[in-house]
Parts: sequence; C-alpha cells; structure tokens
Amino acid sequence: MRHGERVVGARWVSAAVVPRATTLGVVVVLLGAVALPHGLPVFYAFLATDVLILALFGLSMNLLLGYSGMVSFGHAAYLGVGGYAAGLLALRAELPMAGALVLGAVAAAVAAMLFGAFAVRLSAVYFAMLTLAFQMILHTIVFKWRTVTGGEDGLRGLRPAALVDGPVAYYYFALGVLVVSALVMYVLLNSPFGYTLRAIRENPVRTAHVGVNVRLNRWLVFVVAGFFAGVAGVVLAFSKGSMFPEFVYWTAAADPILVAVLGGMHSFAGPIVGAVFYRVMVYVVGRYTEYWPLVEGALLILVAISMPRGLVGFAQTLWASAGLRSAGRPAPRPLARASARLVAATPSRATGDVLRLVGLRKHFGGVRAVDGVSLTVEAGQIHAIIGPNGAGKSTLFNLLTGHLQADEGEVYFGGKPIGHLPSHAVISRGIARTFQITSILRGLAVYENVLIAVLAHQRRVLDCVTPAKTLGVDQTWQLLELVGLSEQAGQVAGVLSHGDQKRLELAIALANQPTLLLLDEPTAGMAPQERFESVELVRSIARREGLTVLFTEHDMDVVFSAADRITVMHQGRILAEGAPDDIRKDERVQRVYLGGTL
Amino acid sequence: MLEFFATHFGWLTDVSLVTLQLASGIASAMFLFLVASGLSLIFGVSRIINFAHGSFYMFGAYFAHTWVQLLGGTPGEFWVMLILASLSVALLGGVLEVLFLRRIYHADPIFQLLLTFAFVLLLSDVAKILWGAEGKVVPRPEALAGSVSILGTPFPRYMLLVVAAGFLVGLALWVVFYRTRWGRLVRAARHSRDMLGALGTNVPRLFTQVFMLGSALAGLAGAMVAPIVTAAPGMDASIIIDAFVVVVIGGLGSFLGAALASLLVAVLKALGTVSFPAISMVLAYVVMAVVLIFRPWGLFGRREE
Amino acid sequence: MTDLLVVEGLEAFYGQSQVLFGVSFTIGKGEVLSLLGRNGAGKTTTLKSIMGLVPPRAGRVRFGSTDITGRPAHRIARLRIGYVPEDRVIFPDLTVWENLDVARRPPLPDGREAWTEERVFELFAQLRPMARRLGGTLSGGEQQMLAIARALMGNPDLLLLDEPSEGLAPLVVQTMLEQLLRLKETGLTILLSEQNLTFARRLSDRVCVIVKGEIKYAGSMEELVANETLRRAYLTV
Repeated sequence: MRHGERVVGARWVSAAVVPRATTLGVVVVLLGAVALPHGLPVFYAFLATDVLILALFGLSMNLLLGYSGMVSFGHAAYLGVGGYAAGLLALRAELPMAGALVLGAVAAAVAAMLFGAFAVRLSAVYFAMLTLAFQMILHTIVFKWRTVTGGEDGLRGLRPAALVDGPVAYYYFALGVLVVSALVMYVLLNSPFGYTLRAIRENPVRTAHVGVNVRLNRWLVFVVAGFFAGVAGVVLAFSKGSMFPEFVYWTAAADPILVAVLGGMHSFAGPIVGAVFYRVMVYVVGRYTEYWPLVEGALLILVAISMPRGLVGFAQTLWASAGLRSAGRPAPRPLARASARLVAATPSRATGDVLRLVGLRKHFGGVRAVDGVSLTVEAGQIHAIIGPNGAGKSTLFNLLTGHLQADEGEVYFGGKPIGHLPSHAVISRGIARTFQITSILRGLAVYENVLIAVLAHQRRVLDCVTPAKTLGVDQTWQLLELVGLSEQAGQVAGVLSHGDQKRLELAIALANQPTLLLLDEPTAGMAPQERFESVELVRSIARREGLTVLFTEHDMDVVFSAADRITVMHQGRILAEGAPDDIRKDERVQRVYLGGTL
Repeated sequence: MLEFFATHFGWLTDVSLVTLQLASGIASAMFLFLVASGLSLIFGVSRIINFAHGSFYMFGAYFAHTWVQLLGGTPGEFWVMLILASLSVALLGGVLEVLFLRRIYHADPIFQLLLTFAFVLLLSDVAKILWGAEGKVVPRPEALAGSVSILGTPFPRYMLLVVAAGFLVGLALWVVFYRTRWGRLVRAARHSRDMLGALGTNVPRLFTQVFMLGSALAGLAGAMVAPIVTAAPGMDASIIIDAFVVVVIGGLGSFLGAALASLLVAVLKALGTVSFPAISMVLAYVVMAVVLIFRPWGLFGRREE
Repeated sequence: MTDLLVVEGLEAFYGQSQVLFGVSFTIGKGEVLSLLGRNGAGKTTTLKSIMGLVPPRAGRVRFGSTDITGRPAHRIARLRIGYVPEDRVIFPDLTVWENLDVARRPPLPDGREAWTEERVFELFAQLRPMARRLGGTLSGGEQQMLAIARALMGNPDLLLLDEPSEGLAPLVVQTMLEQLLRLKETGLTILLSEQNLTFARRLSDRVCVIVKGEIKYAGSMEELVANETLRRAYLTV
C-alpha cells in the first residue's frame, strides 16, 4: 500500500475544534489586515488586494485538493467564467457591481455543474486532464471571440462601485469578501458534508460502503469550489478593471495549486498563508531578477520533495516539537447513557431469507473466481463461508455489495434484486461490510471514522451547516464503547494496532444499523485471544439485535465456535453446506483442507 | 442553412486547398505523435504525467540551433544535429529523473504534477538565460529545400521528410516495444514493477531509460520542427496541451492510440482552420470530451482502478 | 549437506503490524523444504522478505556465502533465486513466450544445462501450444505453470514457491506435482509454502510449521503427519 499512502498527521483531530490559541490568532491577523493600509504607500493596497484574491482562489481550490483529494488542473476556468461573466454583465448590461458579483459567481457555479458532471466520473489522471481541457476551451473562446470578450486585448473598462472605488476602499471590500467566503467554507468543511469529503479523500471505497454516493458528493464540492473561484474572479476583474485571456491560460491553473500546497493543503489556513508568501515572494524576487519562474520552480521542487505539508505543516511540526500545542479532542462524551439499543434501531427479527444468491458467476480473464454460486442466508443466522485461499470468497462479497458486477446471476436482499446497484445504494438498503484488508479512513481520527458512518446512516451527508461534532455524539460514543475503542477516540486511525483497526471497521459497519452484516476475515492478523473476544463481540451484538451475519474466516476454531451454518467453497463453487458438525464430518471438506485430493 | 455550408465547407470543392490542408495536417500530426508517444510512454511505466514534456520539445529546438552552430557546415550536419539534439534532451531528462522524480514515485500524485510543473518553469527560464528571448533560426538542409507537387499542389519537400520520419519513428518504436527484449521489459514494468524486479531486472534503471527515451522523442520532434518555426520561448506551452489532448483521446499508455489521435487532432485542426478559423482547437477538445464521456479511459487505454 | 539458505531471526512488518516474529530455518543444497501454516501465518511474508520485496526490520538472510538481507529484489534475483508469488503475477499483456523471455538470465558458468524455452516447454508441455497467447487469457492452472516456468528462466539455484496448489483443480495439482518432482530430481533447491498437506508431503524432504509469525515445528513430514495433536493444532480443521 505504500504507493497510495500520504503524509498524515493529527491535523483533522484538531481541525474541527478550534483551540483558543487559534481564535486569538485569527483575531490578531484580522486586526492586522484591517490596519495594514494605514501608514503604507498606496501601492501596497494593490499588492495586498492581490494577496486576498489569490487567497480566496487558493481556498476554493483547496476544497478540492486538500479536502476531497481531487486534483483539478483547470480551476482557473471558473475564476475566468466568474470574472468574464461579471465584466460582461457590468459593461454590456450595465449591471451594478453587487449584481455582477452574485451573477458572476453563479455563472461560474453553473459552468462547474456542467463540466463537473463529466469530470467527476473519471479516475484521477483523466480528471486532471479533462478539467485542464475545459479550461483550454474557455481560453480559446475568450481569446478568439474578440467581439465579445475583447480577445487578447482583454475586456477593459470595468469600474468598481463608487463606494469601494479607490485602492484602499477596494482592499477593504476584497477583505470583506474573503472573510465572508472563508467563513462559509469553514462552516461547510466542518459540517457533515465537509466530513464526508474528507472521508472520500481518505478512502472512496470505504466511504461508498457506509452508504455515501461518492460521485454526487464529488460533483457538489466541484460546484461549490467553482462558485468561490468565480467570486475570486469577479473581485479580480473589478480590481484590475479588466480580464485577460492569460488569466485562464493553462499555466494559470497552477497558481491556486501552488498557493494551497505551498501553504499546506491539509490545513484550512494553508492557502491563505501560501498566498501571502507567494505574492510577497513574487514582488520581492521580482525586484532583483526577471527570472522569477526559476526561483519559483526551485521553490516548488523543494516543497514537492521535502515539505509535503507546506508552510503550515512545517510550522506545526516546529510548534509541536516545542510542546506548544495539545492535540484536539473529539466531542466530549455525554454523561448519561441515552438508550440501551446500541445498533439496530428497528431490529428486523423477520424470519425467512435475508439474502439469496442465484447462479452468481464472475470471471477474471481465464480465472473463474465465482463459478455459479447459489446460496441462501436465513434471518438471524450467523453464517460462515470457508474454503482455501482463492476459493472465491472475497470476490463473492464484492459481488454482494456492488463493488463488482456479476457476469451472470442475481442477488436478492429481502426479496428484492440488488445485483445491479452501486455500493452506496446496496449499503443504504441495510447491508454493511468489512474488508479482508482493513478499510478505514486512516488519516482521520477514530471518532471521526465512526461519526461519518453514523452521519451517513442518518442521511445527513448533505447537511452543510450544522457542525458535525455536535451531531450523532451519543451513537458514535456508544459504538466506540461497544468495540472498546473509546480510549483511542482522539487518535488518528492509521496509527492504531491491527486488531484495533479491525474493531474500528466493525464499529463503522455497525453504524449503518444493518440487517445483514458481511465480515470478510474479521480476525485475520489478530492474536488468538483477540480473535475470540472479537468473535464473541460480533456474536453477542448479532444475537441481541437480531442481526444476520455472513462471514468468511480462516481460523477454524473461530468458525466452528461462532457459526450456526457453514458453506464451504472451493474453486469458485460451493462444495458443501450444513451445520458445523456436519461440515466437520464431511469427507470432501476434510479432503480439500488437508489436500487429500491426490 | 445552405449559406452556412457554403461559407464553412464551400472550400472543400477546391481540391488543391483540401490536399494542402490534409498534407499539412498529417505533417503536424507527426510532431504531435512524437511528443505524445513520449508522454504516453513515460506515463505507462511511471504513472507520471510529465508537464515538462513540452519543455523537452522546446529544448530539442534550441539544441538543434546550438548543434548546427557548433557543427558549422560539416557534411550531413542536419542529420548529425538531429541525433545530437535528441541525445542532449535525453540526457537532460535522465538527469531530472535521477535527481528528482525518482524520489517521489510513491508520493501523492499532486506532488508529481507539481514537480514536473516546476520543471516547466525552471526550463523556460534556463532557455531564456541560455538562448535569449529572441527566436533562434535553424536552416533547412539544402537537399530538402523547395517543393514537390502532390496532386498538382506544391508542398514543401521538408514536410515530406517530417511525414517520413514520423512513420519511421513510429515503426521503430513498434519494433522496439514488440520485437526487442527491452521493449518486453518495459511492457512488463507497466503491469508490475515488483514482479519484474523479482525476476532480476533493475527497475529503477529501466525507469530512467524509459524517461530518457520519452525525452529523446520530444527532443527529436523539437529539432525537426525548428527549421519550420524557429526555436522560441512559448514553444513548450503550445505543444504540451495538444499532446495532452492526444494522449487522453488515444488512451494513456497506448502507442496506437497516440498515433491515431495525433492524426485525428492535427487533421481536424488543419481542416478546422479553414472551416472555423476561430475555434479550430476547440474541435479537438470537443472530440476529447466526447471520447471521455463514452470511454473514460480513452480510445485504446485501459480502464483504471 | 551444506546450507544454501540460512534465515535467522527474521522480523517483518506490514505498515504498523508485525507479521514475522523472529523466523529462523535453513535449507540444504538440493533440499525441498515446506513451510506449512494457515492463512495469515506469515508464509508469504517470509518468502517476500527473503526476496527483498518486504525488507526485514531485523534478522539475517544468507544465501550461499552472501548476506542478502535488505538488498533490492533484482540483486537477490540475480544471485539465482527464483520467485513464484502466490498470486502468480503473470504479465497479462505479454505472450507466454514473452513472459518467459523477460525473466531470462545468462546461465552460471558451472556447467549446468541452462533453462531455455525449449527445456521449459518439455517440462510444462501444456504451455508449448500457448506460446503466442497472451498471459492474461490463461486459466489459473496454466498461469501457475507459467509462473514456475518463468522463474526457471533465471536459472535459479533456489526456487521460492508460494502456495502453488492454491485454488487449482485436483487434476491440475496432480500434474503440477509430477512436474515439480521432476524439477527436484535435477537437484534444484526449493522453498515451498503450502496449506495443502498432501501436496507438500509428496514433494518435501523437511517441513517447518509457521504459526502467527513464528516457527513452531521443524522436522520430518512423517512425524508431523503421525502426530495428530500437532496437526490439529496448527494445520487442519
């Protein structure tokens, strides 16, 4: 897994709980920003306005880059749409600046809606390419459509509203826009929606498997990011009095990325810090040499290779090593235990078949991973699927939860076909699963891992306003307690021991209040004692809540002590099925396991 | 309606104009193919999208200028220059790969993107420092001056060379990849570098070689285009986007895809220039968008995980 | 018998979790040693650690007279260790012949007959007619044989075989066993990781049982098979 790993820290733990020191810092910076134009030459108001616009642009970029893990290489397109739309409205339709600001940003959001609908379907590389292509389309249009956009001469002659006309007044206007926008983004990022974005960044497969429509959320954040880029574009247009095609040339797409990465893309304030640093560097270096790009290139190489967390991350490391900052805390644990019902709100004690597989088949190249499996899982049963490695157990699970689509056959859950559904839809119908290779949100806190699953189950994913930390507190703590992880609630999930990660994944799955729980090797890699505790935990929860459990397992002691019913798979087919005692006595099973096939 | 067709497509009845546009489209497809195939080759093994590939193309043109000056009229200097310019760019690419890229193959892709973008900035300034902001002319070899007649239309002899060279290089690449052991190693590395390493291949060294070959292809394209356009700042940016469009349409990592998409994009551009002069490049983007809607991994690419 | 491979106190991790806790064993020249154990016991990791694919955190691996601990995989392979991974990792876009070709290494100058396509196809006759087919289109059994054949092309002194019988039909396993026995006759040293007891029994001279990252038993297969308690505790249902 080394390839996809990224630098993680304790950042998200602290992100949502603003420590007092940070509040103080924000106030000081704001006061400084307000006082800035006084006593400095007017030129610096222009420079400072540039910084503010760049900061806003960078913040909007970081919604994608830092929070959602989406590398857009065409974000300047939305800055351009906002700026040009506002400029055209102001010049041609003589709309006042306030109206142009709103409509310009809306135009950018609409453009992001259209382009985003295509782009978010793609894998990372093609996403970057397609966003870049959209930006180049826009560049070509504004460059060539001279009669409307002014072509390479630019769209000229914009004047800000009288109230903010003048370098210092306009600086305050830009500051106001930045503060309001940043506030909105901050609220958004700390809402369930913002948490879901982080979850997608960390692990899209896991996020889909708590019932989140990953593509929809990616599209929504793309639109929001486009909107704020549009706002930055409008402020830019009225600041310069003009818009030029260079603003949307492909190299311009790098600016917001640079600002975000330079400052630190895993910190909310990162792009602001990055913008200040970047713009001031351009100015200072520019006074000594015309070769700014050379300096910039060298700086980028340095950041890419040795400072992946940017200036803020660098400062945090210093800060932490000086012992000046304590790790943030999750929401405090409530004093009173709310209810005895820990998992299923409405336990389905229905009898009959919960799950029915009919003739499932899946081939990979020449390998028949699942070769005609029909199986029925009865309500309330703990049903094990065993078999040697490569028997097709994990593939079968992937077919059940929409992670893979079967070549043939159908899956019925509660009597309804679900074989064609995407993962998130399967999950929201009441199935939950864990993976053979533990799938958790490694860069997020343990508490946040469970919280996101709880919020997804409560269908609060699209809530963009309420602070996520105030929601689902009871249930999250109960789940953590249930699996014995409340002590580690504030830790980053990636540093937990293997066994604890497995337990965390179980809590994530249970948060969905499933009717059917699928566990893919729930005890793999655990110490023997741990295994029995873990299985006993699942059993007791299942019995109490009336859950149906289907699990694969290699530890035979675990299987025979926990399962009500056992299915043995071999080479993609079902070899035997029955009660544990029957299976133990079955000749064929013994042969497969002991290799007595010779 | 009729008028629209007459304005935009009326020229299609002019055989000589159509021939000329088609021929020049095919010629520029060759440059595009050389750059795009190098880009695609590098992506195929290292999963890195090299923004600096356009810079390598530009350096190819500048090196062409420098080598022509250094060679100073030796017989066959043009051909020697093509080889030396390509090798110089290969060396440049190799140095960048060993010094920087090698460190971040395992990092978040954003840092890879950022790093190659840093190369773009660095190289554009280095070029300005070394060669100045003025365009540098590279003379056409005398044997290739003048025109030949194709279907009665005069066509620059040099462009014929370009077309021939494009075909030859394409053929050579095919032979290298499908008929040599080195090519087989590269194709194996695309699937699993670990396994290839466990079979005794020095994979990091193979990556460097691949990066150098990809760079050399861009350098060759730059050296060959230099006599037509003069080496100048901005060459890097102009080609890289087109090359991106080509590899996305063709499918990242696919040679056949790069070849066909180069032809498609370049010919579309050449014909579009006459029909819709304002938006000829947009046509290529539209094709790309349409391709990605129906095949999100490109025409000949592989579905990504 | 001289020891060809000596593994001492090997410890290895996957990310945060430790998988091997001081694994030690030796293999003599020309010997076939089976590493038995259940899934997740550490068989694959042991093989990968020897091969340099999972660098060990502690311990030593000596091959012949060379300490190969922590060396990159390609250097280890060039010292004549052949590796057949559990999931086979056939290059799907390369033909069968090309899969063999990428693994080709010059023979050692010790007079042994070098492995060629011809010799490989003699051993794995069913691969011969498939020489021009793409690796990705082969069945599981064919891929397994190709993976072994490919490792042979490097003219190994030691072959690391990770669960070759896994997921294969009995008939295929039978054929493969006979082929491996013929390989053994050539004097090739083999480290075999297996869950299939019968398969391992037919092939190996000695066995080690690995349980949760530690070697719990080392000795003869007969003793292991005879000892019901041992077998039940570590291996079977």
